[in-house]
Amino acid sequence: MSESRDISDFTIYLEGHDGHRGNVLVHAFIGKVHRVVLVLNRLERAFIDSAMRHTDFEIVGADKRNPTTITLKPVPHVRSYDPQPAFHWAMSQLAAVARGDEPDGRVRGEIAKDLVKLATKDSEDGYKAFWINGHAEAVKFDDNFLHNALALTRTREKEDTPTRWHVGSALGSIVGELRAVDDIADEREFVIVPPTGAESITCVFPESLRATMGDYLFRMVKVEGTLHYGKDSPFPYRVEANDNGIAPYPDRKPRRTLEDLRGVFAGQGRSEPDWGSLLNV
Amino acid sequence: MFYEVVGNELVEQAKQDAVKEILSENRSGTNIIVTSVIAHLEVLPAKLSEKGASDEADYLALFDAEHFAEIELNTNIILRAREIRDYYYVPPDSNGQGHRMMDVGDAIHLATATVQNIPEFHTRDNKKKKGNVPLLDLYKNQTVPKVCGKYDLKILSPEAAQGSLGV
Repeated sequence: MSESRDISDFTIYLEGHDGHRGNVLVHAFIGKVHRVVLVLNRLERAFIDSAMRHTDFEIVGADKRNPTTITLKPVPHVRSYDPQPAFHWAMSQLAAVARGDEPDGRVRGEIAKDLVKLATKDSEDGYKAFWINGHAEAVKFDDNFLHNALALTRTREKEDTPTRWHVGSALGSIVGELRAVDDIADEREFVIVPPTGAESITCVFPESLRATMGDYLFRMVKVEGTLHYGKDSPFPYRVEANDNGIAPYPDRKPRRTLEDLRGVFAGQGRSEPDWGSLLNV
Repeated sequence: MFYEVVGNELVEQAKQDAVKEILSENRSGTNIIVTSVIAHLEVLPAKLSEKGASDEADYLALFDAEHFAEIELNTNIILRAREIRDYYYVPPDSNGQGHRMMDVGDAIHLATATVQNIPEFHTRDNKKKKGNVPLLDLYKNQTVPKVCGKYDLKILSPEAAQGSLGV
């Protein structure tokens, strides 16, 4: 199937079904030609980031012998447009899917669904095989292509699913520098700035800690209590500290650096965490 | 990476130098080293001796939230870990071959890093074993080098370009 040729056009091949003496049924032929053009137009729109197609396809050749073929040449649909870059890019994306490689990130879920339709037989006897000549290798729209297109569809669905954060409350703790205390109107609020993640977290201290809150100002502390999570962030938006739930952090200062600790656990058996089926899909 | 130091693992000079450089920057406050708390389970010895207790306490005391920060598990990290594991899951083919399933610990580390918006993830994991997904090859079949194709995270094995200058 390897060939070297002028790649300014391409040919669609449909091999006829034995049940029809090697002839291709017209609805199958028209359906697949239409689908190929649709896919190429969608790929072009993704490539040039446009809502409208810029390319038409001229029929420059056709042959009824088995396989039945039609040769199409991309030509500009709009003035001063060169259809070749988008056409070549689109062909390379089809070849990537055929090989089982991931296509360009611009090939999103809707196009992946079109690729699934492209490789799906609408009827058993419409045609026997269907392919196009690509750049160097023919691209066969067979079961392998269908399998790869389905996998791409699943991947894109996962990628395109927006992140949803857990909404709820949990018992836990946060660590960070205590930067502000606000109790002017009995709010009992203080602000923690963690070393990573959230820019700041508003917390509430219990009445019992009012007298000692000033001791923690501008110090690194650990706050234990009820953490409230909302839909807009993975970090708690509010923490209600427990009684005695605020303490300097860490509870002991580092005595040695990591380099000082080089080799301290050498030769000792390590835990081999067995997570079992936790998180199994 | 922690165990590479505390276990004194034998690695190439370029890797040792890179770790020294990172730790030197850490001491001067130009970086912060972040890890999931599950790293402790992977780093600490299985059995505790009397001498080991002091070392263990000193190891844990490193995590001061200024130079070293440990990130606790929470629901959002667990959900992200499940998403990552699902994304990189490869079912076996018709011959029962080619199955790939990311280690849960790796998924939690990646989830922690992406939820916390950590820019760089340091690992030496480049070996395929028992159908695992080597983290240094995570983006090998992706055109977009992002976790799950959408979460920014540079994954690398730190290696010094040249020998440490000892500064």
